[in-house]
Parts: sequence; C-alpha cells; structure tokens
Amino acid sequence: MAKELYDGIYSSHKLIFVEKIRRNLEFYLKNKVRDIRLLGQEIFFNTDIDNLPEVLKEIRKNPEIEVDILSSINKYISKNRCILLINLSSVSNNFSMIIKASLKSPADDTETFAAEYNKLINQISAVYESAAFYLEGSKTEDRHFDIVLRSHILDGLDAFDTYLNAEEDIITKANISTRISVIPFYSITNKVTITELISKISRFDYNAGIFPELCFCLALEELMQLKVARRVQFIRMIISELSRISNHLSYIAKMATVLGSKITLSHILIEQERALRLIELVTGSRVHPNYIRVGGVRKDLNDEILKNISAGIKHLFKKIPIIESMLLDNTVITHKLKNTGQADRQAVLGCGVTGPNLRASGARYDLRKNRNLLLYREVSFLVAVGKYGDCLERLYIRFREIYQSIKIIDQLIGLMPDEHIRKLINLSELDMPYNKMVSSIECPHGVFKIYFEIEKNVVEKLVVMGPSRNSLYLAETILCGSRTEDIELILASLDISSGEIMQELPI
Amino acid sequence: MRQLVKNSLNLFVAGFGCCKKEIYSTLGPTYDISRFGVNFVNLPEDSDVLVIQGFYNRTGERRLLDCYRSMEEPKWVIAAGKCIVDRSVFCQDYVLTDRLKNEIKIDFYVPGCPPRPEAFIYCILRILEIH
Amino acid sequence: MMILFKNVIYLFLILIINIYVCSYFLNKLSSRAELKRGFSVSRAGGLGYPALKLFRYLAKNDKLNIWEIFIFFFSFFIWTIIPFSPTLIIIRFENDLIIALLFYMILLFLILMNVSRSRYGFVFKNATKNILMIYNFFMPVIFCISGIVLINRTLTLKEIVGFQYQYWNIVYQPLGFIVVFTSVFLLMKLFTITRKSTLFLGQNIEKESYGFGRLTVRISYYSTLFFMIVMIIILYLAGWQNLFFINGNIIFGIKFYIIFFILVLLDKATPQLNDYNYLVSINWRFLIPVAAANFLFTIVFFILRNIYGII
Repeated sequence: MAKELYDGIYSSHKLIFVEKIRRNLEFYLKNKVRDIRLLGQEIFFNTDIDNLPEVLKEIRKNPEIEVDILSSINKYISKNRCILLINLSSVSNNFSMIIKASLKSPADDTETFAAEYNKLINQISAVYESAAFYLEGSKTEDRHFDIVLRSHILDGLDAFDTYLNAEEDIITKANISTRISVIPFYSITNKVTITELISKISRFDYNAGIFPELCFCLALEELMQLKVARRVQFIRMIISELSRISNHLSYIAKMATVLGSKITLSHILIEQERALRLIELVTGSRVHPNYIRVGGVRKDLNDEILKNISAGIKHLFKKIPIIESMLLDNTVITHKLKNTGQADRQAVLGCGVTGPNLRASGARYDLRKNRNLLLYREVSFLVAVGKYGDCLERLYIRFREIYQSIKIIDQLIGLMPDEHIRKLINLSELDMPYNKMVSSIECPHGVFKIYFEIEKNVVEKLVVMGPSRNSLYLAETILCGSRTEDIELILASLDISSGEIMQELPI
Repeated sequence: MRQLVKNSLNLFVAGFGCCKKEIYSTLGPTYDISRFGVNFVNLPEDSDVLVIQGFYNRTGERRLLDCYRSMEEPKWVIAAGKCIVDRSVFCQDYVLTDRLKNEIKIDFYVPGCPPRPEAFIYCILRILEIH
Repeated sequence: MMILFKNVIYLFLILIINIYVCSYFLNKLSSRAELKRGFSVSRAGGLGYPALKLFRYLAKNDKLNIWEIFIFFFSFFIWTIIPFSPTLIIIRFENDLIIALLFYMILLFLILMNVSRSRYGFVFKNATKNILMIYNFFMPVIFCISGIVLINRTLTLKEIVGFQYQYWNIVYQPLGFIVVFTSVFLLMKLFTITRKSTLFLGQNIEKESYGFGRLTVRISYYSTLFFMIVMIIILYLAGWQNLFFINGNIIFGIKFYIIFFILVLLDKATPQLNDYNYLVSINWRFLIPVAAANFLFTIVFFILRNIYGII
C-alpha cells in the first residue's frame, strides 16, 4: 500500500498526464500550431509568428492547461531565419513546454528586425509580464544613473553591470546589463560532434560542471531509447550530489565574504576543498569533469573510492553544522540578513526563477521529486522549503540541501548494486536521422535546460537555457526598495552563475 | 622599487570565467597564497599584477585595456587558462593575445583548462623568484 | 629645553614601538584565526612583516593631499597632552581632559574628511553619514566621563589618576566602564584596523594601496585606538598607580596590552559591522540608556553625599 502511494508521487502517470495535456492543446489550438509532440518529458510545438499572441493567451487563460511561468526567450539564427524559443513551464501542473516560432532574417536590415522583435516581445509581455526583460536595445545608455557597479567590482558576480538610481539610501530603480557577457561561442553551438560537445559543455556552468554534461547525455539516451544500467545511474547521482554540495559550499563562502566573517570563510573553504577532492577522486578534474558518457560513465568506481567518499561525507556531516552555527547563531549576521531582499512567491514565479531561490519563497518545486529524473525515486529525502524568501531563508535553504545531499549519498553507497557494465554504443558510427530534443535537470541554481538539433553524430544547433538569467531578473525587481548597503548581499544571495548568463554573439 | 613591491603583491583578476574560480580558491587555508604576501583587490589602480583569464568580447577587451593603463609601474601581467594562452574554447577564431599584442606585454603564461591552484601558485613564486 | 626634547624623543619611540608591536600581533592573530600560516619571518604573521608593509607603502605613489599632512602631524600632536606616565607630558593644561577630548574629535574629523574624498572628488553623502555614525558614539562616552568627573571632582587627568590610589574607578562605575569599552570596540570595528577598510570606501572597494598618504592614515587609525585605550586606563583602571610593589609604568604597559588583546579577539569573533541602522540601534537601545542611568545614579549619589552630607 505504502509503496503504491509512494510510486503515485512519481511514476509514469506523470507522463500520461503530460500526454493528456498535449491532446488538450491539440484540441484547443488546432489551426494555430503545427508539429505538436512530446520531446522527452516536455511538450514541443511550432507556431506562426502572427498566431503567437493568441496561442499564449489561450495557454495562460485556459484552466485545463494553466501555464504560469515564462522561463526564458532564446533566439538563434539558422538558415537565414531568426528562430525564437519560448520556454514556458507550469509549477502548479508540473510540466513544461517549448514554443518555436521563426522571424525574418536579421541580416537584411538590423534596425527593422529589432523593431519587429521588440513589437513581438511587447505583445508577449501583455500576457506574461516578465517578457519585458527580453526587450532588445540598451535600456541604459541615454539615462542618468546615480550608482554604477562595473562587472569587476563584485567578486564572483562578474558577468554583468549594475546601474542603479537611488534616493538617499533607498534604491528606486535597478537595471542589470549583461552586455559584457555576450561573447562569441559559435564554434561550440554550431555543428560540433557529440564527443567534443560533452567535453566542452560544462563551461556553461562552471560552478557545478557535471550538470550540463548529464543533461545532454540524458537527452541523447532519451532520444535513442537506451536503457542505462542501475549502477551507472547510482554513480551519476553520487557525483551530481557531490557537486551540489561543493556548489552550495562555494555559495556560502561567497556570503561569508560579503558579510565579512573571515574566520567562517576559511572554515568553509577547507570543507569546499574536501568536497572538490572527492569529485576529483572520481572524475579526475575539479571544475570540468568530462565524466558522463552517453549510456554510461567514463570510469567505474571501485571499493576504495566508495570508502573514501563515505569517509569524506561523514566528515562533512560533522563539520557543516559547526559552520552553520558560526554563521546563523550570530545575531549581527541574522539581523543583517533578515528581511533584506525579500521576494514573495508570486514575484519569484513571475520572474521564472527555479531551484533553491524559488523554494526559499515557499514553492515546493524540485525536478528530483517532480520528474522521473535518474533514480531519485529509490532514495528517501526531503525537499527543503522556506517561507519568507529573504536572504536568511536562502542561506538556510542551502544548508538544508547540503544535509539532504549527504543523506542521499549515504543511502546510495549502501544500495550500490554490483553489476557488470558493457559498452552500449559507438558514437563515431552513429547514424541518426534529423531530430530535436529538449532535456532539463535540477542543477544547484535551478532547472537547467538544453535544446538541440542533431543529425548523424553532429549537433547542428545547441541552445542553453540556464536558470541564473531569471535570478538576475529577480534581482532587478527586489533591488528596488532595498538599501544601498545591501546591494552586494542581495546579488550574492541569489547564487548567480556567470557561465549561465553568457549569450551567443551573433555572427 | 620592484623588490619593495614584491613584499606584498596586489592581484587584480580581470574578466569572468572558470579560471577565476580556481584562482580565488587559492585564498583558502588549503593552498593559502597569502603566506607569500599576495592579496586580491578589486581596483586596478591599487594592483601590481593583472591576471587575464576567461572570456571577452569587444567591450571586455576595452575594459581590460583601461584596467591595464590605470595600473601604476611596476606592473606584471599573467595570462591564465587555455582561452588566453591559446585560443578560446568556445570559438576557435578568437585569439585574444593576437588582438592585444601591441598594447599588453604578457610576462607569464599559466596553461591549463582551468589551471590548477598549484600551477597558479607556482607562477606567483616565479614572480617572487623563490621557487 | 633639553628635557622637553628628551621627552619628545621618548614619546616618539614609545609610539613607534607600540605601533610596530601592535601591528605585528594583529597580523599574527588574524593569520592564526583565519587558519593561515606564514613560513618565514617576512611573510604574513612574521616578525618583519610590519616593516616590509612599511616599505611597501613607501614604494609607490608619492602623492600627498592636504588632509593627509594634517592627519600626520595631528596624530602625533595629540600625544603631547595625554600622559603615558606622570613625567612624560609636554604641554600642561589646567583642564586637560576636555582638551584631550577636543583634540581627539578634531583628529576624527580630519580622518573622516580625508576618507570622504574619493578618486572622483569629495563625496558629501559619505561624509555626513560617517560623521553621524562616529559622533553618535560620543554621547554615551561623554555621559560616562562626566560621571567620573563628578566622583573625582577634577578635570585634570593627573589628579584623576591620583584619586584612584585606593580603589580604581571601575569599582565605583562598572556600568560606565562597560559602556565606554563597548563604544571603543565599535569604533575599532568602524575604523577596521584589522581588516581592509570597507565602511568608508563602500562595500566592495578595497583601497588598501600604497603611498605615504595611506601610511599616515593607517598611523592615525592606530593613534585613535591607542588614545581610547589610554583614556580607559586612566579613567577607570588607575593609570600609572603602583600595584603593590610593581612600578606603575610597567603596570600601565601590561594593562594597555591586555585591553588591546581583548579588543582584537572580540574583533575577530564578530563579523563586519557596517550597517548604519544596526549600529544606531545598538547605540540607542543599549549604550545611551545605560550611560544615562549611570549618570543619573551618580548625580543622586553626588547630591546626597556632597550637598546634604547623608552618605
């Protein structure tokens, strides 16, 4: 009985539910959409640019579908067409969809293209307010600003400039410009082989390098319908939880730097090095693991490594409560963190933020529980959920998540199955028809999503939709009304990973 | 004058990227770069050593040059990571050292993607000439 | 004339040695507390580290502005009034307690003026905010000092020390001592001697550069801290009074370093304090009520004893 109930939370009925929604969509938007189908666990369809506002209105208003978040709008150029990818997700109904629409080429006339694009975005922002963030053209040039923070002023938050208007101590308007992080990387997103991409994709999130690789490999396995061995899944879970711990520790270190608590900082850095050592022991690298393969992992774990990991985990479990008490039992620190940068559930959802930042404001949304992700249904853990959504809550959530990750790894090492693993495929001889795929994974900053088009063994086009961009938009809204002393604290508390903010410079 | 400055070097790490993470991890007690008198600053005006790393576009290059010009003599420049030493990982056509070879004179190269903290400390020791 | 000259030299030596020793212990303690290790004499936490820091300050950027010149002279000039020992005093005033406090306020004012000048000009907003923040802490201190004056019935530091030959003032005024100590600690946190200055220069900018100007500012930070410690010792801990058979001057030095160490350890244990609202709330919720209560109590005591002769 209990097992049935437990399986009811996850299990395949989610997929059936998504299928039902797909049919509903097909019914409601019969004439307006083309090519509606399921890609992995997400819905995907094409639509014309003229129908787009109506389609979005229908999706938003219809109570059977009820999509409440606009996660991101990405655009890329392919075959003289500018293609828009609108990424929507529904926290209440627990599914997500991608809408594809194509604009005219920007190569003819960039100014008219920008005008056309902005007109479209304005139409979208009538339905989803957060679309206004994606308006093109600089919002910052012809205006006066009181405070300008250049990118190099803030350690670790170095991929964007912050422009602020302030009245005495209170910030009235905040603008974040990511002009500095629009860099050329077309040789990694256009026509790369799978093996090359796996080794390079972790640069998109270098705070937790395993997740982009894992996301890409999961997508390919879904596409090829490969059945991956249990032991492999377990190893992947262990390594991803370890990198979650190391990322959260570096987040706490950043917060300790901002708060000026130097003694705590050095204690945290020791523990972070310990977590990184464990990752290095398994994968051979601290930052870019290049460890996950399609259908498996690069190297098996032997008993000695497992013993080391469990010893390291025990040590972390002993040390992290001490660090927590050093930081959060201090009234000076808690006084400073409490009620600063507060964002309620609705505001956070409106910006499309996911991950710990969303959970801190009271929404229980974690892909590890909500989707069929790896084998997380076989271990027991809790999703840490906060209530108030201020800086203190965000810091507290990270500590809870570290404990849960330690618990997961401890269970996984105990349950580790003994299996012989054989090689499933040979990538160099892969001959795949033209296909597209979407995949998402719960990385430490939120939901990391990639979209790619593949033919044979070459990835034609890759689009990365990292969660940190949405955190930036959230920062823009919650910086207004807070004091000038708290700028760095608020920005640091959102855990913005610079690699995810990067955008492709058009050729 | 150079010898006097070497007693405590101020490092300014420009740009953003994965190497920055590794360079800043030398601050911790495990690697402890501060025992050589090295500390990190956020203003180029106060720094002796400019560390170039990570990814750049046109705006980034201009800012890097501004930072370099506002540093006072004596100054050193370290190029860290594959993206600067060789070609950008993301884009094979983009070579920063070629673009800036007239403006900036680079003293030390630290290879690796990203370079390990030990490699970076070794480079600092080469500046101090005490390895 | 020769005696005066000798006194000046003595004072200078005491100050320089004190600054050197204190900065050495500061570096040592902070590197130990932050789990860092120096491996040779000249490295962080080593014996020669302050000297090398000094050379580093002199190595680059020889520009000086007018405030820094004022600060340099004033941070030494302030010591001509405050006695380290009964003989080592250069300018004698009748009521030197008031003059000393005045000089101290002027030094703080000069430091704040200098610090409010950024690379791009004078920042008026910073200046006013810092002046408010620093001078906030004078209110409780002045309450406490007037309590001491009421008890000892003098404004001369020498006589205040002489009054304490039997019982130290801390016995009469324990609350006052706590208040003064706390405000000195908070001042030390604001001046950020152990850390890079963040209060005055904004949260993110670390202006720990070199140049003779920076050196003078650094010296003036130490000077203000020493001044407050010496005032605590003179007012509450019986200054240079002999303890049993030990010489008063040695006792003075021991007290000085004990208070300094306690301050540094407290400083290491607490995080950065640059939150204006929090400091003001400490001031108005704890320091000023306690100081005012202490003052009222002392006045009642004073009236009962000296006017009505009851006690």
